[in-house]
Amino acid sequence: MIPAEHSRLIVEHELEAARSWAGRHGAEIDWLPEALELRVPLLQLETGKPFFLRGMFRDYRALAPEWTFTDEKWQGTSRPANFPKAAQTPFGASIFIMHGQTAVICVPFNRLAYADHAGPHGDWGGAANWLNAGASQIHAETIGDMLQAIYRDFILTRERMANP
Amino acid sequence: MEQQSHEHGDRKIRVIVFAPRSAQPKDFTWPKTLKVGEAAREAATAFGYQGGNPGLQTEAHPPRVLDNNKTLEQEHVHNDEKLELIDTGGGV
Repeated sequence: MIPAEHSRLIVEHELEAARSWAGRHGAEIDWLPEALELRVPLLQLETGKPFFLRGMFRDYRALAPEWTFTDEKWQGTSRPANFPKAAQTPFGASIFIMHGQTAVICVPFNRLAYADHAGPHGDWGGAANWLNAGASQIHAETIGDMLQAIYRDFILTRERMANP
Repeated sequence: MEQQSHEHGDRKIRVIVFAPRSAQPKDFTWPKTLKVGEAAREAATAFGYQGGNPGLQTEAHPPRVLDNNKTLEQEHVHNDEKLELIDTGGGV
């Protein structure tokens, strides 16, 4: 739908701010431009356990990116063992949920949250509507905002969603 | 008048706000009695955010999310403090 070079340029434009965000939070961002893939290793504060947040940006920004947690080889998406277990937040429901047998970061800026991409939400108008979907839910329009939104709930977690 | 002005000046604080969508922070001078939610909305607008549910958090690790319904003073925000914009919307 969107030329890969177009998505790559948009991501790289947004990465400057995202890297500043990462610097403020002790995180590192690894960008693989050929794969349109963003890798962000995170440490769970409570346990010190590593988690591997991955964003895929094919067709970005026509569609929301795909955000998930993977294993340490950056594979095995949507496996509950790769996800942090939802913890209580001051903002309402956590963004980390189970949908059937798969784990999902359930936010409007995640393609994998939409029913047309095997996610739970058939009521958000499809992944192309991500900038307008879920008005009362957590909102993020740039990569830095997305990382902050995911990190916001991640740092409250205390364990994995399932045993590896 | 001068003293009043001085007192008025003391009732304001300078806050440095970071936003995840910008590499550079912005400075704001706000009355201490301003609600956190109002300050967050003003800062969000300045950074180009439209809509959403803006809030502010400290730069502590882990950060402390300020209560949008309290004033900056009640949340112990001090002069030259660095805060970060967040979205306070829920999931699911």
